[in-house]
Amino acid sequence: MKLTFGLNCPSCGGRVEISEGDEFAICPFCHTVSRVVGDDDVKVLAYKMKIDEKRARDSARRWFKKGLKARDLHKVAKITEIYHVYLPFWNYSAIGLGIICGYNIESDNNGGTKKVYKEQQIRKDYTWTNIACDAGDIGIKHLRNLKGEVIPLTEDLPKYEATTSKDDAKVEGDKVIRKWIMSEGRISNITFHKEFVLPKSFSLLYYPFWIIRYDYKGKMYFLTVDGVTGKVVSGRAPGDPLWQSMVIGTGATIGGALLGLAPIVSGFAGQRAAILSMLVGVVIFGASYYFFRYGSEIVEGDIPKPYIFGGKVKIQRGYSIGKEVLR
Amino acid sequence: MVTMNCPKCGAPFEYEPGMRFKQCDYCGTMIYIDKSRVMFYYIIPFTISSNQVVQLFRRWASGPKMAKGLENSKVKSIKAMYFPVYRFVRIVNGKEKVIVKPAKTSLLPGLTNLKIPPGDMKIFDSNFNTGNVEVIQPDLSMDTYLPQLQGEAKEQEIVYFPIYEVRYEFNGKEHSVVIDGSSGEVFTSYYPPRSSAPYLLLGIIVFILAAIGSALGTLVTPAGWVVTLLGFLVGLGGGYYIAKKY
Repeated sequence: MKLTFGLNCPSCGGRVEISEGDEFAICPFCHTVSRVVGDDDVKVLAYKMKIDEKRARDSARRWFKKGLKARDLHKVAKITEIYHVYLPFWNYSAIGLGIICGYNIESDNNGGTKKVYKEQQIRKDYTWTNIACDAGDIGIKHLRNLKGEVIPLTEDLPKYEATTSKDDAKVEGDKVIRKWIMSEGRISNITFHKEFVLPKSFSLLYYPFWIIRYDYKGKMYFLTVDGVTGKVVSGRAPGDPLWQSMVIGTGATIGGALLGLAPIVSGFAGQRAAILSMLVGVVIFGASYYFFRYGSEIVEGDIPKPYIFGGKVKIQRGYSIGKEVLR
Repeated sequence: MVTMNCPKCGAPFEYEPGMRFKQCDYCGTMIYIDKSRVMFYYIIPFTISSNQVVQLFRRWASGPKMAKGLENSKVKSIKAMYFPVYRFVRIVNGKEKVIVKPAKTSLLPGLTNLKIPPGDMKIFDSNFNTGNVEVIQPDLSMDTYLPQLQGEAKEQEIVYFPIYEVRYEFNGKEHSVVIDGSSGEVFTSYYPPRSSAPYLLLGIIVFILAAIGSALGTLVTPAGWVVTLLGFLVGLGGGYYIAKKY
């Protein structure tokens, strides 16, 4: 879509027409070349809503059936409210350059280990997004999809206001991109690393979502649907005691059996295999216990999940959408 | 709605929250709105009704960390309020900083770790209908903060956000939660917790039975696997019972 509006030439005051995406403009009166910058260098844009209410409802219906949610959810749940809103995101694109040196320990042919030295040069495009207001209980902090049709941000779009600082967002984005570059090397023992982040663009992107509230046995739950892709992004749903008991029954049995197998494994495959079997057993038991304990509510999206880390650790998920340019 | 005038031709235009530039509809001049020396009043409307808030409370109370049966607590009162905070945007060493400060002293949970909940901000003036919801008046003036703030002012505003205070009774004791009326986030300082003990105990019993069974089954007699199977059945039955009752 072409978006044209007029600005006044800083040199002669004449009106200069500018289209969306223009970096430079030439004044038709005095021929001064001006650089076009957004508000404080931040471009503001919005993506077009592609999903209508019916498709959002269909997505929700399908989501009710998926996963370890209450078995009768798709029959009992009643959608009580559905509305769409544009949420603000800081959208930071940059080229990441890095040099990472170090070594990996690999096993050699004689049953021992050897150090394999590595040096990696990285050059990749990264895009980091972060919600520009408090996330509240919406469960969306980062965007999963970065493609959309750009539309002008008009005043009648229902939108949530950006309330956080753009400069704080840039600092945070820089930090995260540096981490992504470092993890790109796939080197476990890093002896030297240096990263550079070359900013390409920084914008405030309004992204459309459907917010759906539904009732399940007198309780109100919610989910959100991506307005461009139609996928469910986050939500809360009731769990089911049957799934909880099946998970603990199966998980603790497999975990315990692996522990009990350790003596026989030790005889056949050596001590290291036996320890591995015990460890795997304990991990399976731990994971199934957490689901059993906290699986009465299923949460999806960027909501702290009690059955993964006991609710204490929040995971920051990043999305590196970009292609490798050179290696 | 707040009406402003174009500095060049004098034509009026309507100001919207978040607007920093505006093109005059009449003469086409680009107008920059300097907010550094005025204070704006904003308000975030409720998106959750008082009927929905009870259902939302029951959902929260049925969560895995809350005592079993908390969802059936008696709701004693629901109070809707617009709560004020100050939001300052400053330029400190060339960087934009956002600072949120309390406008009202409160001990309610969630109102001490200040943040502005997500919402569709509106201009708060006589045209905004707050219905019969109480608008909490600030008791701390903006002047208490202004002298201590670093850098240069870019914007300052008072934001009223919607909250519900829900008081409920569980086992004869009264507790309360604060629910953000825009996104539905629940804040609380204390709630009756659910014990993990029965869950952990059952898990360990199944785990040990399965371990004994597989050790016996492989080292002594294949019949030992019966113990593992027993563990599995205990896990299924006991797990279902515990998940429903505890």
